[in-house]
Amino acid sequence: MKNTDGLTALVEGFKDGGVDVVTNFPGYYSHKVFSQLGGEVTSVNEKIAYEIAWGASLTGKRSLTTFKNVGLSDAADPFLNSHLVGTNGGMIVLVFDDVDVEGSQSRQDSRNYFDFFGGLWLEPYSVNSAYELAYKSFKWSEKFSLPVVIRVTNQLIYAQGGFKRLKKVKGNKSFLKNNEQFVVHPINSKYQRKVLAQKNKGIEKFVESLYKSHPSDARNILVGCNIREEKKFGLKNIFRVFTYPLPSKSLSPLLSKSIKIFEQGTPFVLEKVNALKSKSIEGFTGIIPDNSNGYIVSKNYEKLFRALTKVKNTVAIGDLGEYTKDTLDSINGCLCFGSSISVGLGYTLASNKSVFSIIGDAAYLHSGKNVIPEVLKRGRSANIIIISNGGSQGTGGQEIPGDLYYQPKVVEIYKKKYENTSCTEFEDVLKTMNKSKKVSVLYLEMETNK
Amino acid sequence: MKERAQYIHIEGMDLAGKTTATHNFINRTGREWDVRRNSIIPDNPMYLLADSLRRADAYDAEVLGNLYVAALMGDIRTFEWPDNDTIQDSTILLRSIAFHTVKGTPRVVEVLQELAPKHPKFDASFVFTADIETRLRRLQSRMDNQPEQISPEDLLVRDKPEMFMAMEAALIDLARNSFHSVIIDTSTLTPDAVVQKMFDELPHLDKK
Repeated sequence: MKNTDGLTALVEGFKDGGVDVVTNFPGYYSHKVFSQLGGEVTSVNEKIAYEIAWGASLTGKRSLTTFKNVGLSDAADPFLNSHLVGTNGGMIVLVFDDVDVEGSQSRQDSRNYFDFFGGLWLEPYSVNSAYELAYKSFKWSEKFSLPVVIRVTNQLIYAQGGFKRLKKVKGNKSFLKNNEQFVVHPINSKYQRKVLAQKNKGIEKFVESLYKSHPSDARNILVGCNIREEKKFGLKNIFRVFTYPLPSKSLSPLLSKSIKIFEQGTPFVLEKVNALKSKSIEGFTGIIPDNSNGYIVSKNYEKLFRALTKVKNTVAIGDLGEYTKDTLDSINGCLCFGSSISVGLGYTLASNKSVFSIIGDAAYLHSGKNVIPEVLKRGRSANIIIISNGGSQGTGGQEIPGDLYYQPKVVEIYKKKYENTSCTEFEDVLKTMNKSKKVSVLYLEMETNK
Repeated sequence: MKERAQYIHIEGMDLAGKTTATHNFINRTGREWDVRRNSIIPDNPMYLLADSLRRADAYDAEVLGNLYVAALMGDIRTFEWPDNDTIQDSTILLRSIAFHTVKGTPRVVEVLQELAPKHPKFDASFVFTADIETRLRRLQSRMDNQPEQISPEDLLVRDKPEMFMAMEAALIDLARNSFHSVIIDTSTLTPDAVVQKMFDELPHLDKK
C-alpha cells in the first residue's frame, strides 16, 4: 500500500495478522484504531478492556487491547499478572505514548513497565515496520505465550509511507486447560515465575535474531520512530532498535565507540545501554520464601464447587480470594482482583462456551460491578456468582462500601443461603442460570461472624 | 505370548471410597488383581520401616518425611513392571507430597517434586474424592461398625477439615500433573456407578 500513515499501517497489520477481538478505552488515537478495526462497544475502563482481551486470548483467539500511556497504569494489575499467567491465543497491547503531550495530562513513558516482568515489547520506526510488527506480533505472542506490547509515540501517527502487504492469516489455537498456568495464586507462583524466566531467556535470544541485517559500524542508535530528529540532525550510520529487551549482543560492538542514542520519552534505553557498558556487578534481590505450604482451601464453598463440576461444558473463571482454590481445582482462569466478570465476558466474546464467573463481594464492588453494563451493551450472556460474606474476608473482613444488590432490571437474580442449600439445589440453580442465556447473578449469602 | 499386565492407580484422601471402589472394581472385572499399597515395590523394607516408625510416632515430620523419600527413591530405582494385573492403592509420592505441602516441611516437598517426573506411570490413574458431609457420615458409620479400623488420619476430616482439604487439593493437583488422573467424586454415586466411571476410562480392559 502506498502513501498511508502509521495508524492505518498498524490497523492493516492487525487485520491481516488475524485479530479476532478488540477492546479499548479511548485516549490519544487508541479509539481511532479501535473503530477502524470495527470495534463498537467501548469498555468501562482500561482494566476491564485488558481483562476482556485476556479472556478472549484464553479461548485461543487473537485479541488486541488499546489505550494510551496513562491507561496502562489503570490496567497495570491485569497487565503485570498476565505476564505471570501468560496467554494462549496471541494478545497484543497497543499503547499510545503521548510523549509530546498533545492530548494528555502528563508525559509518561510506558516502557518503565517493561522492567517489572520483561516480556516482548515492539516499537515501530516507520509505516512499513508498523504494518510488519503489527502483523507478526500475534504469532510472536503465541510463540512465547505472553502479551506483546506495541508502543507507539507521536511521530509514528503522522508518519507517511508505504508498506508491503502480507498474506492474511488466522490464529489456530484452541482453549488449553492449564489451571496451574492460568490461575494467579500463591501455590502457582513458583511455577509461573520459573516459566516466565524461561520465556524471557527465549525472548532475549529471539530478539537478537531480528537484528541480523543491522550495521555494526553505526554511530547513532535510533529507538522507535525518530523522523523529526533524523531530519533535523541529518543522521546517518543508524542502528534501529525496535524491541525490548534490547539486542544486547548486536549492540555491544558499537559500545566501545562514541555513539548517540535517540529515543522518545525518558532516557530508558540510554540507561540500559550505559548499564551494558559498565562492569558486571553481582546483584542480590532477596530470598524468595518457599510458599509450597501455601495451600489454603476454605471448606466454606465446597458444595458450590462440587455442584459446578456437574454443569457440563462450562469454564469457571475465578477471582482472588479464599475461594480461588478448591480441592477439585475447579477454577480455569484467574487474572487479578475484580477481573472474573470481564475475563468471562472476553471468553464469551471469543467462544460459544458458557462461563461461570465467581467473585467475592469485595472484588465485585472493587471493579467487577462495572462490567455488567458492558455485558448487557454487548448483548452477551453471563453467569455470575457473587459470594456475599460481609466484606474482604481474606484480610480480616473489612466492609467495602457500595451497593452489592443493585442490578439492572434485565438481570436475572437468584439468592441462596449457603448453609441451607444442598449441593443438588446448587446444581439445579447453576443449570437454570446456564440455560437462560441471559445475564444471571446468583448471590451466595454466607454466614459471617459479624 | 503373555499379555502385558495392567497396572492401575487409585488414590485419594481418607474416606473417599477408595477401598470399596477397589473391591468392587476387582469383583466386576471377574479376575485376580494384585494390590500394592503405597510402595510400588512389594515389601520395600525402607517403606515398611518408615511406616512403622510413623505409626509409633517415633520422629518428627521432617525425619519421617526423609525416610519416605528414601523409600520412594528405592522404589523408583528398583521398579519393574508387574507380572500380574495390579492395582496400586495410593503412592508414597502423592501421599507424602500432600502431607508435607500442608505440614510446612518444604525441603521434603522439594525432593519429592524432583522425584515426581521419574516416577513410573500407570495404565490409568484415578483419584477418589467426596465432600466433607459424606466423609463425616462414612466416618460415623465406621466408628459404629468397625471402630478398630479407625486410624488417626481418618479423624483429620472431622478435627481439622481445612487442613484435610488443603492436603486433598495438593494431592489432586499433583495427581493430575504427574499421572493425568481422572477425578471421581463418590459423594452421590452408587458403588456400581463408581466402578462404571472407572470402566468408562478403561475401554480396552477385559471385563466380565
